[in-house]
Amino acid sequence: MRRDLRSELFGERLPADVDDELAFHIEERARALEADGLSREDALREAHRRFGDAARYRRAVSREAGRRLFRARWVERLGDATRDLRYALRTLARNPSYSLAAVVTLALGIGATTAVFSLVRGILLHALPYDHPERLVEVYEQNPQASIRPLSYPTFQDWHAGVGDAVEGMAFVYGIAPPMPTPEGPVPVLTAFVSEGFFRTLGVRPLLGRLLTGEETATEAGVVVASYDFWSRRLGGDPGAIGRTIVLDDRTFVVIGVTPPEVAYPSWAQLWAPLAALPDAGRRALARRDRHADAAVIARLRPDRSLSATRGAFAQAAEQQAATYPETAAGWDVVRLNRLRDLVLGNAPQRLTVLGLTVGLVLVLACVNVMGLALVRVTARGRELAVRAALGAGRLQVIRLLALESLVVALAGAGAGVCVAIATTRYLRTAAPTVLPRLANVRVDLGTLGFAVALGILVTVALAFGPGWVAARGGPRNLLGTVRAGHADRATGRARATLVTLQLAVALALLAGTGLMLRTLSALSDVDPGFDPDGLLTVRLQPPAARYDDPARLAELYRRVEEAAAQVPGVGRVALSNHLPASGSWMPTPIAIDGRTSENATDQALFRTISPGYFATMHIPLLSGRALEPGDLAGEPVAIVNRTLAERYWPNENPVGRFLTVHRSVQGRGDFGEPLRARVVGVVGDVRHMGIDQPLLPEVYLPYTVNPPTWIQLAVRVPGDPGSLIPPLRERLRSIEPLLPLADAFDTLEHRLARGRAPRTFLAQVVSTFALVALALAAVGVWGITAYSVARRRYEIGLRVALGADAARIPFGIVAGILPAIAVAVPLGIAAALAVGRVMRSQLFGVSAADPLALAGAGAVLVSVAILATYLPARRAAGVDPAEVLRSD
Amino acid sequence: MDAADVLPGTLDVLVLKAVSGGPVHGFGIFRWLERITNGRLQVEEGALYPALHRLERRGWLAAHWGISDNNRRAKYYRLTPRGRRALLAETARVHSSIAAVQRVLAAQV
Repeated sequence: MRRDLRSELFGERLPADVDDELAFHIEERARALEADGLSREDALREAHRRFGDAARYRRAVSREAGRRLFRARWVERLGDATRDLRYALRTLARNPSYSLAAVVTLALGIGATTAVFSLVRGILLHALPYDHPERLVEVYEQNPQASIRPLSYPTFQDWHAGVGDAVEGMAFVYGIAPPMPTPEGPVPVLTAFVSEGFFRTLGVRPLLGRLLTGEETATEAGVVVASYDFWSRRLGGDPGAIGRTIVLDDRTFVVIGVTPPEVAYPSWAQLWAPLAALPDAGRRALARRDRHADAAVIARLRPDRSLSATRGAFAQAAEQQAATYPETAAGWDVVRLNRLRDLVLGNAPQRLTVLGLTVGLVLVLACVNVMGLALVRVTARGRELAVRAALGAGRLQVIRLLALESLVVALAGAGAGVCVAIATTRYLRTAAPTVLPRLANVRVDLGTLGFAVALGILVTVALAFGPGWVAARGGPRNLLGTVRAGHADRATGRARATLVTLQLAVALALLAGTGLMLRTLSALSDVDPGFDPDGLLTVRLQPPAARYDDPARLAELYRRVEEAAAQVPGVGRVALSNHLPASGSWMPTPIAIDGRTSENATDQALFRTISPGYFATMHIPLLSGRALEPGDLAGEPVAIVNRTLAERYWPNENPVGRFLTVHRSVQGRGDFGEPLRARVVGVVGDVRHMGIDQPLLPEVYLPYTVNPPTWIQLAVRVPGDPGSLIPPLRERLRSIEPLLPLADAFDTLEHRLARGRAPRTFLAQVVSTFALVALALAAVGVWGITAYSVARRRYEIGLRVALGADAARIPFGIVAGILPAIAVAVPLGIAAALAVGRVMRSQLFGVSAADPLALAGAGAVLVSVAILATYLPARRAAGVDPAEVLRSD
Repeated sequence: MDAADVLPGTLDVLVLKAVSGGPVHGFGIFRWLERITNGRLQVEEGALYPALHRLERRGWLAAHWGISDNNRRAKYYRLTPRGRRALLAETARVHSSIAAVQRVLAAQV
């Protein structure tokens, strides 16, 4: 039994041969001894004695022989594979157009998919640089309208004491941007002043030096921890930077440590300093219970407590606070815990899903396309394959031959795809920083390479078992019959029709996705921002806080800056405002209306402070009453409201002459939060302050002098190119206050709005590029199948024309042949498009996921392209001279 | 001294040498070695075969089945070109090691 198996395995009767060989030796020796005169019996005994332990030698020989045969077998198999491979390469080289088309198509599909894979890996799967990042949450107060606000410092202290060890750690962060002198002039450095236990809560180890100690956070120690980014840009990435000093707002700090790259909490933090080292203005703000800005609270969940259990522990503290301090906390009695991971990733998962879906469809399309190409070749090679089959090649052997060709094509495609992926990721890293976070983690490495190769193998399997199966089906008779009959085999014909249908459906889905993105972009550009962003230059002014601690001095500086800017030649109107639209900054204030009883703590408006020229500079229309006038800067408090606020609180009434009360909402001022009753003197149009795609909010505009902010924005209307005015403006502003940090202070509103549009513009570009590729592939597929089938029907067509058929009508008959494929592809594609739309929904604006216009448009484009791609080869076929065709065949 | 053990590590080179004259079966190899050494070679005859198969696996010998002088099926071995090169190399190696041993033994202590 065992012996048979071995013989079969090694193709040689191994043990028998060994036995024969050894027996021959003993027999020969015995015969020689017999010839010397021994008896047969003695001779045999002597021969055995001389030979030694025959069983042992037999085992040793068998082992050697077994190894030899085993190796020989593998060498033979390898030889077979090499021969097949060489054959496959030769075949592919003989059809360069097929090979090139297939490799390029697959490179595109595999490359795009691999690029998106590396994005997903770097952005979503690469862990955040904290210990157990999944346990980090941000803590907010929430009101019944689901608005959230960070805790004030006194609230943080109460809650921290209240929840005790229900969390593993909890820390408070307060941000300011003190100016730091540099060779290019003072630069504001976003610094996070953190409470005790911050780094322990965050779960970070230093890259260099050490982090803040408990003692340091409790005292006014002048020490800072630098972010990796700050260290590499401002400290020259010098490992000896520990111990160096930097000056922030006239105070000296010692750098004691550097964090690893990507440690960014809050996301803007460049430096971390002890909370106790906060400058005086900040400390005054910190003491206020109604101060809910520029702060963040982070907590680390205990491993044994879920998010909701932890929320329960906070709830009690929150309710108690709302009851104890109704004037600041009424209504804000719900605790919101946001996972840090969600904060860091933002919309990235949704955007990546759209990207993944798009490239996935393109990959499917690429496979289908190459499958179609391979199928045409299988048909064309029918005779060769048939002969092989007739000579005894099994179905598996035919498939193996085709699979090897597919493998070569797919691996070449994967190789080229890696190049495509490298180029694509490099492009994305420079093009999409405002669209996707954590792009620094995205790289093409061995994992990516493995992914591309795995995709290549997957593609090979798909390619081999598609066309290969069809080709091998039915055996030699079918294949030989195909060739003899001279027309397409039914099976391959059906397979090709299926492939074309699939291509059309995928192309339709991607076209519909493009339609949705284009409609979104057009809806965004149709939105009236409420002001004219063209030719608006903005300058962020942040005077050194230590020098401008006095509000009157600050207001005086702002007035002089505004005046000076207006005198620069080429500058049009100039205005000041605490927060400009689309700047990402805002400050809410509680609002109370005289004569309205339904006051509650959740009535809010954006607190805006402006200079008199603001509306004229921004081109914000005045709807009723008057704009702010220079006299208002010092006189009786007046306010101007936007249309949304007017309609909400004075429906069907004119608010001019009415009174409202807001709370002074300016960072670091001693009078922060104090009520201010003002007379409404005008109503202006709405502005999309938070961004074009965000809802309109009530806004109150007050003179900036009511509470001069510690930093302010200057808006400058410029008739021509805003960039040309930056140098003279900088010069002029510096002459007023040389310590103003102006290095990164300039921007234009057009840029800011474009940054807001960037994610959608980016997705629209990606989706439409791939949709065009898909459409082109589908068109080529349809064109190819038609050209192929009319080429095969040349004789028949010629005959028909010769028999008097109307040559002009023949193309229409052929075009009619594609209609069934279209009839199946359109509903299939629409179903796919609806699924695509659902995935894209979070990225759409002003258009529904099942937008009929996008679907109809996509359908129309697809059907016309498909018909055109059929008509062109059909018309050429019908144009043949019947006499020539009939003679030639 | 009428019997000699095969020096350790020299059986392979003896076999290669025996085969270098042309195709020969295992018994023939042994008979040749016996004749050349006047029967003073002390080795179990069976020990030849693992060596033959090892050399075959290494590609120094090639083998085929043939018919012996007395009309029996026998496995014949011959040197491959690689085997011939190995024979030269091995011969040189054995010579030099024997020379070294002799020089040591002849030396004054």
